[in-house]
Amino acid sequence: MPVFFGIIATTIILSGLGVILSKRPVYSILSLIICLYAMGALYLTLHAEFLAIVHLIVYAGAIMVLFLFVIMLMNLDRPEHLNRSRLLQWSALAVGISLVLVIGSTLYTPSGPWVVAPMGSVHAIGRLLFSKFIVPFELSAVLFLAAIVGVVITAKVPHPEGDTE
Amino acid sequence: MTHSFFLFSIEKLILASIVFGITLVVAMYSTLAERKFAAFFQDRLGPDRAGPFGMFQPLADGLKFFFKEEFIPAKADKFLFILGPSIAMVMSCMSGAVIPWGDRLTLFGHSVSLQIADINIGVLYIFAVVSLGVYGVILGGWASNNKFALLSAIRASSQMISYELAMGLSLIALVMTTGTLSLGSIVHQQVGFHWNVFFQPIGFLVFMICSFAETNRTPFDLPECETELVGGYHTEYSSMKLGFYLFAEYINMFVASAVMATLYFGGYQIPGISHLGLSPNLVTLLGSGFLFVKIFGFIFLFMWVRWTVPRFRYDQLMRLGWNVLLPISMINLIVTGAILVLR
Repeated sequence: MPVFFGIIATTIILSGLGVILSKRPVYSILSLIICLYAMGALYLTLHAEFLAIVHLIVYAGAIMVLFLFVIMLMNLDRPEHLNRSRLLQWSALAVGISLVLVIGSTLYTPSGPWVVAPMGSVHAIGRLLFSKFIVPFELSAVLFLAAIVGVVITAKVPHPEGDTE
Repeated sequence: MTHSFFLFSIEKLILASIVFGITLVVAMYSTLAERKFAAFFQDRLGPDRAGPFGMFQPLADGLKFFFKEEFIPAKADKFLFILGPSIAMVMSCMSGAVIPWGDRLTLFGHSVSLQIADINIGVLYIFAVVSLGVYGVILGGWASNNKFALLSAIRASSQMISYELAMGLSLIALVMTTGTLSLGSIVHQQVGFHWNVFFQPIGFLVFMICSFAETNRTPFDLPECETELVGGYHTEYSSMKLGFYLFAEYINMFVASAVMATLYFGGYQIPGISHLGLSPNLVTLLGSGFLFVKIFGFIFLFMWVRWTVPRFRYDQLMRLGWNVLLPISMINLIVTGAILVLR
């Protein structure tokens, strides 16, 4: 198992570096996709199969396609389009460091974030979602619905003649 | 531990190679079958020069692809241009890993399962692979630096994403009736004539239409609509890279047929074979054969539709996906849930 972890961790780090070091946005996105794949593999080694697959479907399969769409349709794939202002770079550094601190701090909590039981299975997650976390779960569903309706309303251009065809 | 792990790896490796080989051969001869059926539907003879009944035609086609000139457009992104067809090919082959090709086979005192990986989320795995297959098309179309290819890539990806929704919802209804996401258990439940298609007829219909759309087959082959988009997302492709794109479509068709046969038509289960008293190995082999009969039936259906039904217009396609299939599968989902609760 340590061998697998080593391979996966190396892939994650290298592709993560690829995201920030690539000159062109499309290659950044591709690196990010590889990174997400490797993270899915990491979940698999922790016996969280459901989490791994949903991670791939949602992030690698849907959200990254959206990123690619935006880059391609807006013709943004040129290095000169990138906003490389000093302010952005410093704030990105600050955000990155604080993220590392937050994630790193969980390593030192007494209980530990260690996976003790296979809790990423469909049954375990389903039970948790529909018992302990039922209210947040349903509320987030309403939130998503509101977001969808909002997008439809903002994207709909009113026709002067009134017909939609 | 390490010894058994080694044996296990060897066993799975052999199994994966066999499945891979069968997939390629079936896809290869699907191309011939397609041309033969097309000829039949149009009252022609079809390819009959290479070998008896044109049996060697796929080999000749493959050789032709290899010997054609390799051309990469000057303004194309070379790396992504090569990556596109590779992704399309790899993703189309990956689904075969979770499909149960047969029951257990006892060889040299070893019980071998004919399913490469019976993961407990097999249904979702297939869904993930399908949703990742979009990348091959998008990257290829964009990297060609050709407006027709880009337009077609955008068409293809929006079509695939739109139909994934209805497909997913019809799958959820199926998962609700079976109560499991493992393809192995789903097949085990369908002993005799307990085929899921009888419990989920509407779900199956939606699923089948969506798999036509996901494999970019007529009447949903708008991404390669010649009259509007030259050659679609593979306009700029030549030689074996074009071959990969075309071949991936046939592999997708084979895999989609296998998935439909597994999920809705009992997979490798032969109704009533347990009463005949045959040896378990023979039953397993017959079952695998029966699965392939079902798969070939679906492949024939794919071709039958292609040479019978004309292509949709793009707005019709989107309307069918969002205004017809999605509501139908939602209603199916609600009705299934209500029946399950009331029962």
